[in-house]
Order: sequence, then C-alpha cells, then structure tokens
Amino acid sequence: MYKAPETSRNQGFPLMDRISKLPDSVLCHILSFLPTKHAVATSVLSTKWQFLWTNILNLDFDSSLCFNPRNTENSKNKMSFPEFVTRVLLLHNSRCIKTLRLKCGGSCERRHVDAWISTAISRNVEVLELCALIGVDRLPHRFFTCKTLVDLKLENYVTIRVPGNMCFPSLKKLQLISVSYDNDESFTELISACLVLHELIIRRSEHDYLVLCNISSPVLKSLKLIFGSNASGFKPYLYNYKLKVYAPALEYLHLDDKVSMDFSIGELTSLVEADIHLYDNELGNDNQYLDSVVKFIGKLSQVKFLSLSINITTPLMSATLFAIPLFHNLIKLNLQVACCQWHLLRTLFDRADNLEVLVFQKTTCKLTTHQACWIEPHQAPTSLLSCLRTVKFLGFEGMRDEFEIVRFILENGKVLKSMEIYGIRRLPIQRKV
Amino acid sequence: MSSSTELTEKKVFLLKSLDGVIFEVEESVAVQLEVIRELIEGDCARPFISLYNVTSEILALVIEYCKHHAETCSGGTSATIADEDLKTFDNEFMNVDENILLELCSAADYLDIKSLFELTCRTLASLIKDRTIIEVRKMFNVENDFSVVEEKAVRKEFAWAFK
Repeated sequence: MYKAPETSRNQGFPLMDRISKLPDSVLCHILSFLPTKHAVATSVLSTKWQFLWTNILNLDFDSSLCFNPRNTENSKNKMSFPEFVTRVLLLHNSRCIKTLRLKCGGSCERRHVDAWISTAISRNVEVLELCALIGVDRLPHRFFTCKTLVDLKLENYVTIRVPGNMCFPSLKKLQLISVSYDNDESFTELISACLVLHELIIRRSEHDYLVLCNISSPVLKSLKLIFGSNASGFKPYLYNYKLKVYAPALEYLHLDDKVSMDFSIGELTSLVEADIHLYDNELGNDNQYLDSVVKFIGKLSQVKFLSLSINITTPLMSATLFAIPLFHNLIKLNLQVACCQWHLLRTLFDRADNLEVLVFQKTTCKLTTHQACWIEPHQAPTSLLSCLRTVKFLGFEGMRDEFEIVRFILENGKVLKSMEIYGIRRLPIQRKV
Repeated sequence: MSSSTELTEKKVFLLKSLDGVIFEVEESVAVQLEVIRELIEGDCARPFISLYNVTSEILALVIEYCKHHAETCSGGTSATIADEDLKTFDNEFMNVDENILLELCSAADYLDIKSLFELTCRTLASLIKDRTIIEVRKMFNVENDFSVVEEKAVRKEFAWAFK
C-alpha cells in the first residue's frame, strides 16, 4: 500500500506566490465562500486581486460583520452598509448572481432592500436569504413572480403581503423562520404558489398572525414544522390554532408543536420517517383534541423510522390511543415517555409487528404521585418474539415499573442481541443477553 | 507502486504523474477523476493515463481522498453515518500546510473532482477569512504591487469592507 510521504512546511516549495497563480475562475470560487465584506477586502492584496471579487457568484452581506468594533465610530470611515451593498452590486461584473444573502439591521430602508432584491432577480438569482429586515413591511412585487428562484429563506421581521399573481415555478426549498403574514390566506397562497416545492421548513413566532396553518402541496417530500419553541406568546385558549396538511408525496415529517389545537392531516402513504413531538396544553383533557392527535398518529402508519414524544399525561390519552392502526413497516422506534405513560409503549409494541430497534427515554414526571401504569400483556407481542434485536433504555430510575418492563423484554425477547440501560445520571449499566 | 496488489477481478487503471510515478487505482477511484472518465468509458486508458499537471506527492493524496470516498459510499452503512464519517475524514485530510492545500486545489480543478475542489476552496476561504490582509499576503507570499497612494484609494472606495 502506498503511503504518502511526510511533508513539512515549505519543503520543496520555494517562497513564491502560489495562490495568485491559480486560474481566476478558481480564485473567484474561493472568494465565493467568503462573506462579501471579506471578498471585497481582498482587492487590496495586489493589483491582480483588485477586481477578482467582481466576478463572484455568491453575495453574502451581513451588516453586523465588523473586523474591529472600535473602528465603527471612526469618523474617517463614513461609508454605510447600504452604500457598500449598492456599490458592490453596481460594480459586480457577472451576469448572474447565484446566491444573495442579506442580513441587515436598522440602517437599511425599504427602498434599499427593494433595489437589491430587484437587482438579484434581474440577474437570475437562485438562492435568496433575507434576514432581519427591520422596517421592511413588504417585498417588491417582482419578487413574487421570480422564475429562477430555487431556494428561499426568509427570517425575522419580514411580513408577507402577497399579490394576486404570485408564482415561484422553480422553488424547491422554502424556509420561513419567524415570518409574519397578513392573514391565513396569504400563507396558504404562498405555499400553493411554489409549484415544485420539495422541502419546507417553518418555524413560527408568536406574532405571525396565523391561526389556520394550511399547507397544501402535492409534490412536497420533506416537511419540518417547529411551532412555538417558546410558547409563551401564543394564546391557544384565545385562538383555536389549527394545522392542516395535504402532502401525499411526503417522505419525511418533523413536527414539534406546542401550539396547534387541532390537526387535520391528509393521507401520508409515502412517509418513511417521522419525528413527532407534542406537548401538554390547555386542551389536554379535551376529547376532540385527543381524537385529532390519535387520528394524526394513525396517519403515520407507513413509516419505517419513528421518533415520538407525546407529553400528554392524561388518562384519557391512554384510552384513545388504542385506536391507532398497525405500523407494519416500522423498524426503528424512538419513544419518549413520561413515567406514567408506559401504556404508550405497550400499545406501540403491540402495533409495530416488525420492530427491530427500540429506544425509549423516560422523562421526568410532572405528577406528584407515581402511578403504576405498566400492565403486562397476556401474550408477548410478535415483534418482541421474532424481530426486536436492540433495546436502549434511557433515564432509568429503578422504579418497580421499570424493572418489570426490563424483565418482560429480557424474558420474551427471543432474538434480542443487546439491551443497554442508562440511569438518569448517565451512568451506563450494560447487560448483554 | 502498490506492493500489496491482490489478484481480484476488479478493473484497475494506471495513472502516471508529472514526475513519472505510476499509481495503480481501482475503477471506483478512477471514475471520480472526471477528466479521465471518457478515456475509461471509451476503453482508451491503456497502458496508462498521463496526468501532466500533478506531481506524485499530490496525486498520492488525491488517490487517498478518492479511495476513502469510494469506500465510504459503497460501505453499506446508512447515509447519515457515511456523511459523518466523510466529514471527519475531510477535516483531517485538510489538515495540511497551505502550499499542499493550493496544490490539491489546483489538482482537483485540473482532474475535475468536484467534491475535492469544493472542499479545498472552502478551506482556503476559511484561511483567508480568519486573517488580516497583511497576514494573508504573508501566508501566501502575495507581493503588494500597489503604491501607497493606490492602496489608499482602493481602501477608500470600499471603506465599509475594512471596518
């Protein structure tokens, strides 16, 4: 086998300018990875570098970038961020701008942002990221009919006010992070205007004016929804937040939802992987709410990989859960349970008849009195007898229930290869079968 | 070069570096060099392919890179684990001095290996990003051929870039 010779610094390389010898196209490609501020700064390296940056395809402007914070007040240096961006776009030589990232604070006005976005669109921009456009309450009209856009990210403070003839014919990936909308219809229309959307990521903030989150996309493959990582600002008891999804081609679904009170999910027959986190909320005892949760979980029955945490600790939940269908395809299940939710494990054990890997993580219990809730099934589930190979138990506290479950799995797991148990202090107690 | 060649049915190709060293590589490695893909597919790669712009030292590294990527991608592990593994490998692989890095970048451009080209460009960019103009000049031995007045004018034109 050939072994590369050890190379020490500068060995065999006399002191010479090797980087400037690279073809201009390569140097431009290197500069494309830099924030545009840094790329433009390379213009003083030498005369060869002076105009190299004008051919870069990716522009990345961030008003908060500063080499030396003490310099900002320097009176000699009066160029403002908007002036800089405008000047760069003016001198930019390339006929196309592949990527425009724009992150700007209070110094930018709508007229600036409008002009920059319009320039990028006229140069066939494919990737556009707009972040923290304080004071920008609408985007230019031509933005909403951009034909070349493939990847769009809007983040913070942008308000979507959609015109009637909106259409993004090439948009494949859309990220809406803490964006607010004029009304529910604006949101629905925005999603529907993306004709070939493959990936959608939405992180909601509490001031987004959205009550019904209606996602309808026949070609969508991957959907990630994070609703209310900080739930304090949402008022579920005032607004009946609703999540409606029609995405029959979906393969991956991630939902982390502290907000929605009602789920209306269409068929998900292509789904391969799901990662679902639901939480206790004011309607935890509401029959209708629990019904919609159970119906929703039922729609996941095609998945191969499922990660599930339902922190709804009411007894009603356990009763309704028995309505879930079989999960024939499920190979790997990652389950988070509160201490009085062992029925969830039992139910899923029963329904997932081809399960090979089971990971369960016990989270701390909110209830003051511990209720024993593990009831051993009369018959060991099929999966346990014939398929289950690996079990991992995280958050083991040594309660009677927990010992019962471990014993049950060890006794009945006919093909079990390994079982790992981790205590709450992360001390692994490992037993090999 | 390769002393432990086993007799397998795998197709192998011979690559000759600028300084005349011949490397034996498997097809899975050779096809990553887009520049010679046509030769391989057209069965015109005999007896060996001469790569005039790459020294043996750099070619050995390029082959190591392609080999690892070929093995990881065909290893049968899940995509996420393979990704992690490649990331770790790439990080370690880029832990070379800037001259080797420039040679690798140039070789990846010439041999048309997209992933290695992206990796080296990204790494070179991060070297530039973390340094002042003076440090960048020093690191790559870039000679400043601006006069003092000219440099001042360039700095003034894009003053915000130097804030």
